[in-house]
Amino acid sequence: MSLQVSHLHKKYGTKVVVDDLSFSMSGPGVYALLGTNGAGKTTSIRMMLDMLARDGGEALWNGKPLSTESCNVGYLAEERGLYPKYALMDQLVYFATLRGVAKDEAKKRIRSLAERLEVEEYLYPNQPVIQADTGRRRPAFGVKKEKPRLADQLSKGNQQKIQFMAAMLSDPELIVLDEPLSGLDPVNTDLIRDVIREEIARGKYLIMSSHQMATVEEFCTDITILDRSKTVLQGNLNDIKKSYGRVNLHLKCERDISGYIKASGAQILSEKEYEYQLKVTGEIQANQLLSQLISAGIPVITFDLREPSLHEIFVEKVGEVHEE
Amino acid sequence: MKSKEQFRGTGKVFSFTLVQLLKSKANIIAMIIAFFFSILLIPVITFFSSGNEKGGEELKSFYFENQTDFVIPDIKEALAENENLKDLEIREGKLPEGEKDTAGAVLMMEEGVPALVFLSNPNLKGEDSLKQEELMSCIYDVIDSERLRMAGFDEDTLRFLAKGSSRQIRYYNELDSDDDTPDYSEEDQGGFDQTDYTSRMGYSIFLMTLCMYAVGYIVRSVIEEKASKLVDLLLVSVKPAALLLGKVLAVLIYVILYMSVMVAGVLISLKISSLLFNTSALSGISAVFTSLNLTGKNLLIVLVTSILGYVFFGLLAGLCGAGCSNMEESGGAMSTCTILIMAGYMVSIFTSLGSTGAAKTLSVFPVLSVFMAPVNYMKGQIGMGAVILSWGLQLAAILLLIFLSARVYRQLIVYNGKRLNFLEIVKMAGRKEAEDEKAA
Repeated sequence: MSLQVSHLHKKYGTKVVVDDLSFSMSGPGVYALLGTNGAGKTTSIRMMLDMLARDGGEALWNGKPLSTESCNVGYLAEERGLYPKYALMDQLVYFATLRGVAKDEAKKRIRSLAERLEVEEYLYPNQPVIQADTGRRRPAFGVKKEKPRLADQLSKGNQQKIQFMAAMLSDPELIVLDEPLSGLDPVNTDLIRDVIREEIARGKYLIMSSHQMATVEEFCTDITILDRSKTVLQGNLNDIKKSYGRVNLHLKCERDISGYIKASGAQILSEKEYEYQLKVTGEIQANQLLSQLISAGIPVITFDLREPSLHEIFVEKVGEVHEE
Repeated sequence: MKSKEQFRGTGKVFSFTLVQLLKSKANIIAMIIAFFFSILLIPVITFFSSGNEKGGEELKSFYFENQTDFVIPDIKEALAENENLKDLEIREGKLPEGEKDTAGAVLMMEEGVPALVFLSNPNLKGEDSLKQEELMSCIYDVIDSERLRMAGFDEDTLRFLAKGSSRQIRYYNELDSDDDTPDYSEEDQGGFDQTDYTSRMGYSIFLMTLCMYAVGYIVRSVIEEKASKLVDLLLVSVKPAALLLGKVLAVLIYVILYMSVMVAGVLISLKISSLLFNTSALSGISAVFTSLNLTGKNLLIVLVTSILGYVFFGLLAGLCGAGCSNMEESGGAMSTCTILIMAGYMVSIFTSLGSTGAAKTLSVFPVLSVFMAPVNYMKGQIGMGAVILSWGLQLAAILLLIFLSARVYRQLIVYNGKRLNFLEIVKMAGRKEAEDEKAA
């Protein structure tokens, strides 16, 4: 299977919102579409999925035009929503059947995802009580039957989990997640992360758009950074990082070493109680500084020389364009 | 894109929407209220139309006083032939004072000729009041026949005279001068006809209710999906056309069900009311249905025309709703549809007061035809050809809307911003066409 997106172009009136976007996925993995607000990420995804008319370009899945007919797509949109006054179970079954899943199979998948995402109490308000001693389920005798939960009775985080479920119900081969973790607390973030990890392990194709660079860094192998409709950086994340070299030095000592740092020519980014975040030109400069500290008999607690983070690359790239 | 793909998933949208409509508490309550309202309708109409009839007197006897020298035959024998009057007790003599369940008549001489004075009982209940009118007519016939018999007319002549004659007014410009044997039998008097007016109004109100409900629901539903940010989730599974059509059809079935509940309520009410009350006051309504000649064919014409009208307004509502971004804008979106529906209703009503020529011409115009064509056909003012022509033109209008929807609905459904009115939506389609041509 492969995904090939070529020269996507969209404009509203005279304003270009996506300008010649191309990328490809030749195997399973996670591709990140990154960009500032209004850079054209969501419009690109909508055009890719044939939800929005394109002014140019094409998206191919296995060499055929990508559409919801040619590919089983799961899409978690950035602008998420549910019918506020309809029962959650009805909605999930509806979304699954729209994707061609049989009703019974949909209910099985809903049960499985509900357990993994810990939302059973909202979907099965009258489920049997599990006996603590035997672990058996028994009907909840004497308990007043609760009405099915409606979407507007759930917290925003729980609604988001239901929406994530809706995207995953068709067991999609291509999963498009637009800001999947925004607004979630750490516990729920981990629940969704686990599901994403499982899907990656199952060989799915994922396209992820997020402002949470740590999340993208954790999952993605390839990235495209968009800024104001244009592609400003694209490629394999490791290769991009390597091209920058190891220039981030985290150094911690037991006393003030700012004099040594200045003498080495390294740039201090931040400093707190003899703990420094430095920008160096490369390994040679970092090693020279370390040698000087050892020679001076200064105990070094932490010496961590790293490539720049995705966050730094993003800010640098988008910042460059804005300065121009 | 293949047109079949455009409508894939329509059935699922339809069934989900219908199930949710039927599950909605508000809709269930509305349906129950409508049912009880229908149940009460007949007793209320009967009460207000016949006033104190329910508590009125029965007509049990009739006093006849002859103050002339004429020999009147046995009235009892004459009335025995009438099914409604055969059980009435006939008494000779003056009507006694204070009796409540009786009526009377006096035959006297006035200026040398016999005069029949009928002593009408104003306190009779509706059914017996009608019986009294029939009695008056019968007594008059008996006495008049006797008068003519005394003047020397034989039985054959009396029977001929009893048939009477009728009078009709026709306008000479409505007659076909090319026809050698013009058919004058059609009753078309050109003036105000209460039954005609009522039937037009009844049908127009039915259609207006159907379309108004659909417009309101569809506009709100489309905006709700946009405002709830559900559109992206739905569009990954179904095409916008399927999303709209599924909704339109589901609301149609719901409204038909809603109206069926109301009709069932009225029928039950009619059955029960006829056992408990005097329902003669409903004879006008009955006359309207009789004049419409509700055969299977005519009902089919009503059904097809109503569905065409409904689909047109449903699609229009979907387009107008898609031009909105939040629920506050729904009023503006509905106004376009409401104006057209009201126009159809008003034209239908006003043409019933005017000339039939205008009604015939307007019956084939799209939008107006859905309000006018079925009743005009049933009244014999237009032929089947005109009805089919009106369907064709209305279908063309629907196809035009589908064409417009196909051009812009995909953009509109994800559009956020100031509400686009219908003209702006049409312009948007025009712009897209120009862009497509340029791209080609």
